[in-house]
Amino acid sequence: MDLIKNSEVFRKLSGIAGTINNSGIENLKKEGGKVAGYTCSFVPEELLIAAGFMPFRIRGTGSKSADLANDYFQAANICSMVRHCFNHILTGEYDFLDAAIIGGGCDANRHILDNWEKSDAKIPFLHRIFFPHATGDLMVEYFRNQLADMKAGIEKHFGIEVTDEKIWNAIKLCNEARDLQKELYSLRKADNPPITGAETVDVIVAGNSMPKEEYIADLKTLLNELKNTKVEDKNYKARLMIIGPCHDDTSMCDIIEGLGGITVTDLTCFGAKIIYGRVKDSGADPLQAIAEYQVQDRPFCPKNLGAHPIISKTVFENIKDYKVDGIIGQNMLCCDTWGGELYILNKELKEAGIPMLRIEREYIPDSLGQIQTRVQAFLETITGGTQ
Amino acid sequence: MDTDNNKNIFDQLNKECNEYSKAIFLESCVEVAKNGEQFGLTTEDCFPEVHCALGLPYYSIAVFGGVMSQMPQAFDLIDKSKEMGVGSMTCSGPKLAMYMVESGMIPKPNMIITGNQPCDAISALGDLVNSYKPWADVPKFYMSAPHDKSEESYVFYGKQMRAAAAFLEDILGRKLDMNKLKQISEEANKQCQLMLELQVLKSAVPTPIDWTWGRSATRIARWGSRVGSPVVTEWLERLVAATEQRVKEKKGIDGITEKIRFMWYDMVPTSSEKLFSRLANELGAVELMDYYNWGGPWTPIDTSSEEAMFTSFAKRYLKDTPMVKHAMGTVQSFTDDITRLYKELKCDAVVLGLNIGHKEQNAMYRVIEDICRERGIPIQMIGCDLWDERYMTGDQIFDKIQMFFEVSGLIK
Ligand code: SF4
Ligand code: SF4
Ligand code: SF4
Repeated sequence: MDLIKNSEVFRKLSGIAGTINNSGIENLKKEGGKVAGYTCSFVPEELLIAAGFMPFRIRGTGSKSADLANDYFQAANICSMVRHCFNHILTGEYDFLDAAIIGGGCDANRHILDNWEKSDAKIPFLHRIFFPHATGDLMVEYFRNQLADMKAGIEKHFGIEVTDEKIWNAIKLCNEARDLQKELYSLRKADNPPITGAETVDVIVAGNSMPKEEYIADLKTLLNELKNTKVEDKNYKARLMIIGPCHDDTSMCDIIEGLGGITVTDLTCFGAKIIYGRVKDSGADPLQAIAEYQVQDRPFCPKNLGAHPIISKTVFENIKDYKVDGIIGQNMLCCDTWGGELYILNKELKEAGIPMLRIEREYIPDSLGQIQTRVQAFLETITGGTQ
Repeated sequence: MDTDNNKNIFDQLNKECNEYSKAIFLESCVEVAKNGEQFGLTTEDCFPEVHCALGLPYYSIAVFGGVMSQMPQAFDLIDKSKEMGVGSMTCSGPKLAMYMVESGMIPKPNMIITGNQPCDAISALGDLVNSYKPWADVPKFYMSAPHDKSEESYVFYGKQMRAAAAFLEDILGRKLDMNKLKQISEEANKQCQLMLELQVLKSAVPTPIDWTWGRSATRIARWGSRVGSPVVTEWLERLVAATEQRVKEKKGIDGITEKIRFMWYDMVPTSSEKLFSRLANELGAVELMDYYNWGGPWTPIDTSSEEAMFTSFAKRYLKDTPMVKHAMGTVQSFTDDITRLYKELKCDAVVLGLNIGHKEQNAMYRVIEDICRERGIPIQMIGCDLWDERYMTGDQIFDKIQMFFEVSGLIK
């Protein structure tokens, strides 16, 4: 695995994932480019790219405290992911944004907009997009209309026209990125994957933090390097899968991998969920294509009633495909929908004899020691304490 | 009307209300199931007019949880619900309801409608209900309540309501009688108007009746199986007339010398009976409005066509129904409403319950507080668990409110 550590392109992507602002953004801004932030994976990057923005998925990477945000969000009862992201907004980490689209995915996330509007952190364009919470044609139509509103808002504010052609091109671009990301995931099916879970998190997170064309080129290089690597045999204690909402840092994978296990796949909101499938790339209406993808094909978030059977099916398929020995179900404290979903999944997995470790955590934990102890015990349960 | 007569009327109204309210409780559901009658379950009842027109016993699991939180065994069940392993910070009310489902306390229904309304916790309850194995073969319908308050959204939700009604029709094997639905809706409009009249009467100084009357009106006029029933209209008319009489006589709440008028802007906590009596008796602080004790205004149901009816059901539900309009609202919807009610009810102060489970209030509390203060409204956040008194007892809440009144200069 030393290869990847020595890979220049990996170091670049990992650096991007480990910070908020990066040189790619700085260069883009110098050339007059625009960046749009967004807060939930139901906000389609395709539409932002078509409107000429570089999309950036807002995260709280590097945050040391949520003190400023806690003046707006009640600390004890609101997900710390939301609070750390908002803290970054207040401290100016996101001053490079020209626009932000706030997703209505969960009850905490949605109110970033209310607080942003009332705070001193200024942004030229702020828009909230609502999602349907079920699937079906009516929901697709609703979401399509939400996308049309978002598009109209951007067009009006920035005095631009977002043509269908531009949206189709952006769809193709994002599909290409997703295809490559899926290829990367496939490599992890091997007994000795050429990339660890922690490294994969970095590569995927970078994809929502830099210009897409550049990312695609980098990912191609990285894939090429990985495919041409001879990976030494490792005797991993267990192959694990992580399930839960936002998972944009490597801490959980670092713990697993530091203890001799490996994370081979996930179903998280910064991981497998966002690289799933493809948006239809031709037809009469590109907004309809995006809406169908988000609402019908990929409702991998328990905010959607009826998503559970799809989540469950995907988890069991992944267990088979990636030879998963155990699951880590982690959600942020105060995350109601994932808290419920992981409870349901846990029951099903137990019935199927698949071990699962439930972890409720803070986005930036005070101490990882306790989590480490639990993961260690979990690995021992899986191996029967033999390794 | 002499005093004794007036008291008798209220006693009689109370007796009747207790009787009518039974229809929303778990016991009634168990009874219906025992009798082999078809019944429906929902996580949050969005269209009482529809199931009343269908003559379908239809129960809200969220209400079961809320009611159970006030029962003697509540603490034990809440502890068990906490041990289940769902979100540890999820609202105790729906969590209790989750435990009630999983432990088999709720009979197997013939149909289930779940939705994301009003909050993520109820949505999680819906997910759990939908994946509950013993109910795997029960037909299910999912709804998606929009958070934005636009005409387009009301139409969208109205269409879902119509589809949900069709789902119920299919299972019941009988059609929704549109004339009956129209009749019920028109009667419900009258009832909503009477609830608003009651609220206007309550704005008199001193306020003529205590907070429990608004709650009783909500229970029978907006929840359960009697919505749109002439019996309820008649009950409300008598309540309004008796209240009006007290206003004319300038009578305040019996035995209370009104000194402070406040609004508890939330669902009331399980300790409310004791808490509000103590506040009234010891501080002369009368509670005028909360999410149960809610008078509207309510959007009238437009009965001119089927589509208009369903769109206005959607509007009434999303725009006017307490807890729903709040949990799904924005800062502006909170502050505009608080400002309006503060003025209309001639309040001196506003208390925001800030239930630990409410993500939306906890996500906006500071901005709400700032805007209210800018508008000269004394406001205090509490931060309690509405459904588990052990988190913050009624006495602790009392102390907090007393201190707030002192700091605001309301207690000299
Ligand atoms: S977990 Fe669901 S609601 Fe949360 S950010 Fe992801 S898609 Fe949005
Ligand atoms: S972790 Fe859960 S509560 Fe937090 S932002 Fe994501 S979906 Fe919302
Ligand atoms: S009290 Fe708040 S959090 Fe609890 S069910 Fe009602 S809206 Fe949801």
